[in-house]
Amino acid sequence: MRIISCLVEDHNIAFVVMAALMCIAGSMVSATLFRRTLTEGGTSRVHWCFLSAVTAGAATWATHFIAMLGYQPNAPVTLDGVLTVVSALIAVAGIGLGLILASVQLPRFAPLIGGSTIGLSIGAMHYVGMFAYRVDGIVQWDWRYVIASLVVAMACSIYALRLLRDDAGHHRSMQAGAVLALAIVGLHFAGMAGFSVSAMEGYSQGPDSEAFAAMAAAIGMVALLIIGTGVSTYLLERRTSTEGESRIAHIAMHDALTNLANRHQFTDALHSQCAALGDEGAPFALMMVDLDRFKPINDTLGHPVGDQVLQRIARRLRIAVRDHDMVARIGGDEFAVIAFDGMERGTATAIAKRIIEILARPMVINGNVIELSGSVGVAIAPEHGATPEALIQHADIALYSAKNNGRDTYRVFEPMLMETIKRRRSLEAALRRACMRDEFTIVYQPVFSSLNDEITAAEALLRWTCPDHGEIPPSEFIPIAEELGLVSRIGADVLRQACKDAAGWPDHIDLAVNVSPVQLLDPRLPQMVAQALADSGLAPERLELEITETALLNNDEAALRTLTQIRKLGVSISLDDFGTGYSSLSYLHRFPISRIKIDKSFIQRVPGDSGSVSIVRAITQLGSSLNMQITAEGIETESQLAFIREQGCDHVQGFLTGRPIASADFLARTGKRVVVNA
Amino acid sequence: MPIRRLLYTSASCLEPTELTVEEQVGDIVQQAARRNKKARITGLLVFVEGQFIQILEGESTAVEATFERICCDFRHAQVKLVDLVAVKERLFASWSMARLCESEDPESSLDEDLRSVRYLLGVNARVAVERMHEYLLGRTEVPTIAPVEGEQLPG
Repeated sequence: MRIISCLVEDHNIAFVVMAALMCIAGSMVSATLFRRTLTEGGTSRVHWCFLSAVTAGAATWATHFIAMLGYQPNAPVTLDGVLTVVSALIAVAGIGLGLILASVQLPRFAPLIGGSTIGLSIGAMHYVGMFAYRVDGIVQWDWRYVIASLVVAMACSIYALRLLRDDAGHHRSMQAGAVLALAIVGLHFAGMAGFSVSAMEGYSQGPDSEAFAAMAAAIGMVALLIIGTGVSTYLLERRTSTEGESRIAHIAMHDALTNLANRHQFTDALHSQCAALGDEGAPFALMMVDLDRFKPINDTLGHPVGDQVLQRIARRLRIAVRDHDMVARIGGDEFAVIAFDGMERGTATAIAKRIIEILARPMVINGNVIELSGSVGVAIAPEHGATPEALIQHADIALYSAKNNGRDTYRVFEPMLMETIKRRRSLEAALRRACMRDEFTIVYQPVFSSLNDEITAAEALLRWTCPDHGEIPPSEFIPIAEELGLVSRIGADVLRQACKDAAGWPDHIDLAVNVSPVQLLDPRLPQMVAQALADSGLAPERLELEITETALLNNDEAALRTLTQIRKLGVSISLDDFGTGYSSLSYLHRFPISRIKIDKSFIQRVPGDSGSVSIVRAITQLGSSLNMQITAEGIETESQLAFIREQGCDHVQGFLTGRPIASADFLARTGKRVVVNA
Repeated sequence: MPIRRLLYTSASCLEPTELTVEEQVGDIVQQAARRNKKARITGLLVFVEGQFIQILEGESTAVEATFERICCDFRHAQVKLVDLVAVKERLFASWSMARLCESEDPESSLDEDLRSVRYLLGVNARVAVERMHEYLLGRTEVPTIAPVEGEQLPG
């Protein structure tokens, strides 16, 4: 009761309001700054501690002083300047010390020690301030109130620090601010309740309220300036750290090299798009983009150039898509595009076409010309899937199919592709098994002399009957074997077996075996050929290896070395499928080639197609002038055979003259003349 | 600084709008000339039978950056880099971007020349460049046909 009556009766209410505002504002700011101090470490804790101490000290001191000016003791009052200043310094120093103590590594005691120090220093500030307040009258102190005031200040300060240390949440600092305000208010008014002045006789003059009001306003202003400085420092610092955080957020969501969205952001966007589909969200397209032939760039030109390539690819992709579409880099050379809203099939394919077009354009970096291309797989939501997993899987399947379709192209997902991929996967597994179990068989297609219709040779052809899928043509399984790295092994087996079979044939019948481009790149090929010949006892002159022009393309130096070594063994080389590839006459005289096999696509169009007729004619003339043997492949009709004979081809081969048959059957047929199937 | 000369060909995707295709090509050349002046690039653009043949000369980085920008343009397609060589001096030093176009006269000898250049390119790019340079000079000396667009480089 004494405290309330003190507050109401002995104080000028305007000053009390001003002090209260100062107290609340000061406490809130102080609590926020305290929190910041307690969470900081290292030297910045010292800076924050100083800032907090000055701000909180100024605030408490100003609260106390303004309230004192509002005190109406009915006696003349003077102020001791030195002590007043000292009281302010006590507040600042004491709070600073308290904060340092409160941040020591003792969770249980730190708030206790720090809070007590802060409480005591506020108390000390108050009572030193009271000594500076000289009243001409008889002063009496009630020690019970003084002690109570100190207890309140200490208890509240300890509690406030505990709140701030336990949990640095924002609402906690508001609570702590309120508790701090309570500490200051409790201290002041409990202290003032224990203080009474009786006027001496002869003096009845009250305090000079006008001068006090001016002083109170001045002090309040200075204190507010200090508090304001504290607040703005805090806000400034917080904004800087927010900017830092948003930069970190940007880094977390973007690929550092290309500044495109990264996998994380891409996944988020895909999820939210899929979630929106349910609420009548617009259809959208997911495109998986994969660079063809990127790896060799890193290998040959180095990673710095590879990185520049990726940066340019990123820029080009951004140009190829619409402004609001998302382009993400989701792997080394893998990109993804989410083309948002209003997505019809036509729009999606138009974007995919632009991507293919722009990626296929050349690039010049540090004087190096780089020719890349890209493959794109498209899946449209919700038509091809409404979950991120389904869309990604289907876009990947479309991409895979685009890559298998010769790259530099795009494919839109369709359920049929699933079947193709399933078959492919199962063929891959079956092919691996077949390699281990020797499931391959070799058949021989007879080659006849066009002069006397006698069998002169046989071409070994590989056959594979898959247990699950039946007979698979070489055109389907050889590319898979090449991709799986099995082709060299299969090729070696075929060569060995064929040589063994041929060794049992009459001596005048030669053997032709196909060599794949991959085998031709293998430097062990000559040794393998020599081994097969030695093991079987077949004379090298009876063996002929068939290569295609494609094998010579791009690798002609290595191929030339290998072929020359093989030629030295006595084995001859023929050029298969002539006329279909990048037929270059330079191959014919640079490489040790002794035979040209005219591709069946020309033979099958003669004698009707005049273009094919002149090509066949040109090749045979070329062969005779370069002193090379000519074989016509794929003869199916009598008229074709007649035409070929007329042209002077040395040898013929085809279904008309003889289908591929097993070695034993072939042996039975040797020596017989051409049997024309009726 | 070594000078590089780059030659590429491409197919125009320009469609007549309120401007004819030729007018649009004119605009492109003007824009290019302005940009090239800043990057100290010189060169020539030939537009014949819907095909662009362009020569860029300049410092390596400038040529590469300009060509990359050209490759990001969807107003043409089938961009084919035909030649990239280091040269001692610029052949088109006086032109930020000169232009040679077909004239309206189908009998014009220049048109025939330009068409023949298209085929020459595939056989010998260097000779084709010299030939184009000659045509350009020939045209400037006979202003009765049409004045060459492009600007003189300062210095």
